[in-house]
Amino acid sequence: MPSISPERLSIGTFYNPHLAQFTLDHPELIDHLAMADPPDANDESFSRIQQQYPLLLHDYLGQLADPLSEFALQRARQLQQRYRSPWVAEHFQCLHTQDRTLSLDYVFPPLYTEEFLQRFCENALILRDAVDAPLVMENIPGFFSVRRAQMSEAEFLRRFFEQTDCGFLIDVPHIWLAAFYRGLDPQQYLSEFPLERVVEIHVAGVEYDRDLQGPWIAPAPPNDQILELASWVAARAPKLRAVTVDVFSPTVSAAQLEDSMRRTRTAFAVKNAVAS
Amino acid sequence: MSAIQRGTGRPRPGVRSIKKNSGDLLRSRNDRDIHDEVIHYLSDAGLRLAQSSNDFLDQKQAERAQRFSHFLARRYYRDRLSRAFRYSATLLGTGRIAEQITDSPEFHLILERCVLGSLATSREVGDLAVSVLLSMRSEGWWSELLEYERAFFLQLATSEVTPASTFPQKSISTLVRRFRLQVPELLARLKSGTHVGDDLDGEATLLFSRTTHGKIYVVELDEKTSAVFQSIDDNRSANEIAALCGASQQEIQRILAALSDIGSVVLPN
Repeated sequence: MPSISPERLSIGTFYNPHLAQFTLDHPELIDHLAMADPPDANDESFSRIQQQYPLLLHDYLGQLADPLSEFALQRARQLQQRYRSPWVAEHFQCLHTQDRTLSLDYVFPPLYTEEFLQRFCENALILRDAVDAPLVMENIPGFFSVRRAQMSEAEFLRRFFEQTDCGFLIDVPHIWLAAFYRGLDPQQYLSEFPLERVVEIHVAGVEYDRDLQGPWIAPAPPNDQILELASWVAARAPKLRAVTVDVFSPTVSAAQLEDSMRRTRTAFAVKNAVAS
Repeated sequence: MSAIQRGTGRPRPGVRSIKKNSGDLLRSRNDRDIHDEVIHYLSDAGLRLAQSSNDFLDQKQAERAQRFSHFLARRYYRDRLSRAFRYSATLLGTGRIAEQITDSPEFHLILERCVLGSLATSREVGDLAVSVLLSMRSEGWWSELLEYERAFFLQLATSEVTPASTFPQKSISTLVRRFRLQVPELLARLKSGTHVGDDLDGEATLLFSRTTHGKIYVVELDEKTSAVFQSIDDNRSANEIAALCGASQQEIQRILAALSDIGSVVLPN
């Protein structure tokens, strides 16, 4: 089973089953694949995909605001045994109610409070033990503010990483959006974030949304602004191992994916050249 | 029972119809409870309308939360429509049917009363989709295909929890529909790109259901299972169902367990 090289930055994307053949045909563009969903039982390409590419476990394993059920932990274990991911990812999110009868079916950040910090720390360690692999956690942007917050997003994340020693999967478009809706420069917004903990970077595009009346997460190629910000983060992230183009949608075309990969590889090649 | 089509497993929205008891109201709310209230607020247009103010959002943020709730609902139903109406979209040669529906003024009216994941909202959105698509082709099987996709959509989009009962009961979104042609054969031909004509004689009665983990089942029922399912009326015990269907208790338990496994029936705890 292939693995991510410890010698150089790995640049990959998500596994889009409808683009399996394109993915198999372009190892010069793709170094690794993140798995958002398990492969379909009828996916005839997946065994070749797994032979060709290192896989990163990036499924929904459960929300760490609440204790994970034994079913969820067992599922996480089985996925990790299948993919042999060098690290396992989850999100700073709380999208369903405690009784599980209501869910937003979409990424949604927790309240940044002491209580939530304790909950995330406890449950992250349980998940990490269950999968027996390093855990990385991804930042999630908010579109509105709830009065109960006791700390900033940056402080919440920094204290979480200090207490758990987990890795940081920094989603750069998420940071860009969080800064945008606070009226801040993204680099200024990032100044309090623990970039020394970053193991993986996500890049993607943002697009105008009619309901939000502004930009939001979209399965679109990363623009220059996002790639420049991602390179800026990379230059401050000594533990960085991978950059993943976060495009996972049945609507994404091979041409769009190719464009995203080329743009991302170019951006990070420039950064590496400057650094060396 | 033979499975025809399944959905994928993802985190699911649900809709609760649980009333808070006095103990809940007396207990002090911690941050996690407050967060649940935020989720409820975002999910339920009626609640947002009724709450002119609350203690977790000021007026400006409440307006932003309203926009975010519309974003969530539009995204949620667009995703379910694109998954459920995929055969018709392919036949129409467009991948934008779901967007066409969720961008329409009629859908915006639904947003104003939407309860994310509820059966009522799923029905409204499903009706809207069929009304948009029905006139786009004229073959006799087209309306039957749309009815199949509407039933499948109701399962994908409805996560409303069926309240517990002392008797076996049908799950809230489960439905049985008789089609005027062999739908499994129709789907097989569409999948393989084979010509579809007026030669799909016969009928098919299919049950559509969804498990609590969000897996969708479409199955043909055998005669005995169909009789058991039809006799479930929320007021009959398993023994009474057995007597009504002329089956042994052991057989009834087996059939009820099978129906429960596919999410079509909720058994008493």
